[in-house]
Amino acid sequence: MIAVALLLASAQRASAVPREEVLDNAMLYGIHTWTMSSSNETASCDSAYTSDYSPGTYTGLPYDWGGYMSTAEYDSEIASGYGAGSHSSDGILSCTAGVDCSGFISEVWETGHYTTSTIPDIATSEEWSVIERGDVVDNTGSHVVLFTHISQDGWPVFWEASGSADKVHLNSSSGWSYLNGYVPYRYNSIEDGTSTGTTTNPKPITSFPYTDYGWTAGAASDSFDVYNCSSADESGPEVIYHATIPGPGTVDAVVSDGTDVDIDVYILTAADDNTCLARNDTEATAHVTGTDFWLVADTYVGSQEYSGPYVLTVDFTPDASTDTGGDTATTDTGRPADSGVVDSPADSGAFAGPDVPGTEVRMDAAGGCGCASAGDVDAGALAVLGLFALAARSRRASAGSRHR
Amino acid sequence: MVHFRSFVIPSGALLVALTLASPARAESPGVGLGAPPSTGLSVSDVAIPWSAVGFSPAATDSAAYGPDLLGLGPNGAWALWDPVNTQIIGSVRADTPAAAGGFAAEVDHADGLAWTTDGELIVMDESARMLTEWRVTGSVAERVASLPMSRLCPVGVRLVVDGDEVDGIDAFGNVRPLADVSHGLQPVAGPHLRPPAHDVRVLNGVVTVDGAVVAAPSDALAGRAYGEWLYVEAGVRGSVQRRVAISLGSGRQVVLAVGSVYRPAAGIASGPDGTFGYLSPSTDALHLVRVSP
Repeated sequence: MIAVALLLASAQRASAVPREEVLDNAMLYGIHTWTMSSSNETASCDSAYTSDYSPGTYTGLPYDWGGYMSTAEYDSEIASGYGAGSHSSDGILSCTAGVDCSGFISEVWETGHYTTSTIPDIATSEEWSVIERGDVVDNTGSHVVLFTHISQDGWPVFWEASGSADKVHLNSSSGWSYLNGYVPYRYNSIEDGTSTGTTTNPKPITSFPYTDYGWTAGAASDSFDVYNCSSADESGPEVIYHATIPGPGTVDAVVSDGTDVDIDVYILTAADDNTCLARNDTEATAHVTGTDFWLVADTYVGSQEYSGPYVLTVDFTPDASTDTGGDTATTDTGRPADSGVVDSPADSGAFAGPDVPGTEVRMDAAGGCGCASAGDVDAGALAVLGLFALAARSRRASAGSRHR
Repeated sequence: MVHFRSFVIPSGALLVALTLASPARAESPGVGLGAPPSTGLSVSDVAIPWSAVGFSPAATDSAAYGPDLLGLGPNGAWALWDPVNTQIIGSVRADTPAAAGGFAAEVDHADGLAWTTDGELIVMDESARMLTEWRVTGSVAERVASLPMSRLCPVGVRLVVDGDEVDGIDAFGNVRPLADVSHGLQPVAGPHLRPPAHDVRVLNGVVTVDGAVVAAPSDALAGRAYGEWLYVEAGVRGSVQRRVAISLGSGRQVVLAVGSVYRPAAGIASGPDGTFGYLSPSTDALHLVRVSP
């Protein structure tokens, strides 16, 4: 019955999808911030169901066996009281929300709903030696993951919606033994190239803290080579970001990359390499005074071009006068009254003071981690214009619906 | 909500107990009790009965899964995340999970476990962007502090403790200092990123650590440092044939048993006392195998 429903619902995308868009789509699921209420702990269609999650704010869409939906649909269903996530032991439920492994792949490939068994209908098996980011690694009937890269120590890194992890997450720990019996597949309508990350179409930084898992090799922009704040040769391709901010504050950007990849981070006041405020090989910090700033992940060129994958994290701490007070630091949350634990900073030793630029203790109340939401805006006035992300989510929301 | 209770192993169930969610639905025959061949290394095996931990059998588009996120602590302490029962189980002792040192703590979610040298357990929840410190006394585990962290974004970090510092190891192997535990759980000062302790590279079957070639299987696919151990997977992609742990100090190696009922996502860890440990889920029990230099 499930297979019939899926086949009826499936509709292969007619137009090609760029690899970078696939990766951006995956990131949206991994960093999606959502808030759960008590109504999401249960499910109207199954009295035996109980969500693994309890009321609170979370990052990453929950695993939901048989689930296939956009992040916008997820938010809508959670707001309507659907149960948050489910497992195979719950059975197929029409009243829970989230994605399972193949639902996640179907969404990021923008294909309509396919399963681990039907993915080969729209994809071509590949040799491991030619696997690229945005391809999948499929174990028919069992599990499927979205491949991203192989690190210098030989380790596979991939996105997955996993019942064990209970959510969509970036898996860099499992190794190849986790993928025994799996076969790589390339979506028939995937194409190289991207149009985002340029001065005219920058990647929007949608809220703070912001995270992006990017790739400079083959990036659409290769126009910034030397900046006014450094003599380093940055003539390799770059990815350009833009953020709108509520007022002055401190930007802290950290870029992580692997061996034989060297991505440097630059903070600019405009889309111009002569407006550099700060740069670094790993972490740059600058005070910005306008209503926006630009950020560049650029490829260093030495004896070779060190392009490749990176993870960028960006945080912004408003100056005290512009902080709307939405951010909080706390030493404890939700400890039961009968635990016998003294709930005080002195007891825990944890930070309990106000936000201080440069500290890592600030958590916005909405738990924002890369995606703008109404909660983010209310929480700390840190949400910014996420036009690209919102457009992408809106597009998928209109194109797809839940199929089980 | 957090609840506390003792960890109770059913009487006489240490080796053979199976539950209705039986790992007997294995994808391949079990390998046995896990104690693999070794060369000059001490190997111990704790068999945790399936009646004490959860197991989710495979279903259509759902791989089997079970206890994961191994964390090794001082004096043989260990902990596991049991995603089926949403609990952390463990013991403050080395090899007697049914004894008084066993504990369980119900939590909503965990992405990483690591012990401090003082024997306190740090739990990472990336979804809630929270580090939590647990104190284990006898069979009672109590949460003593939580630290919300804006930087716990989903970048695939693996949780480790290095001295008094709680670190996340990210998808590139770089170290992300998260917290300091010398005086309770506190934010750590200083840079947000630093290179890994060991530069491990694998190319065409050759494994190098900090520039020196390591005697590893010639068909090595991947290698990763866990403390002072190097974990190597060998074979071909899609078909790993062997897994070995190599002591970076002595070069001695041990072949790891291959669990048969599911594949842990993070079932490997090193302990502060120099041990290497891994999970081997077999049909008879979940085996926690530890190797000492």
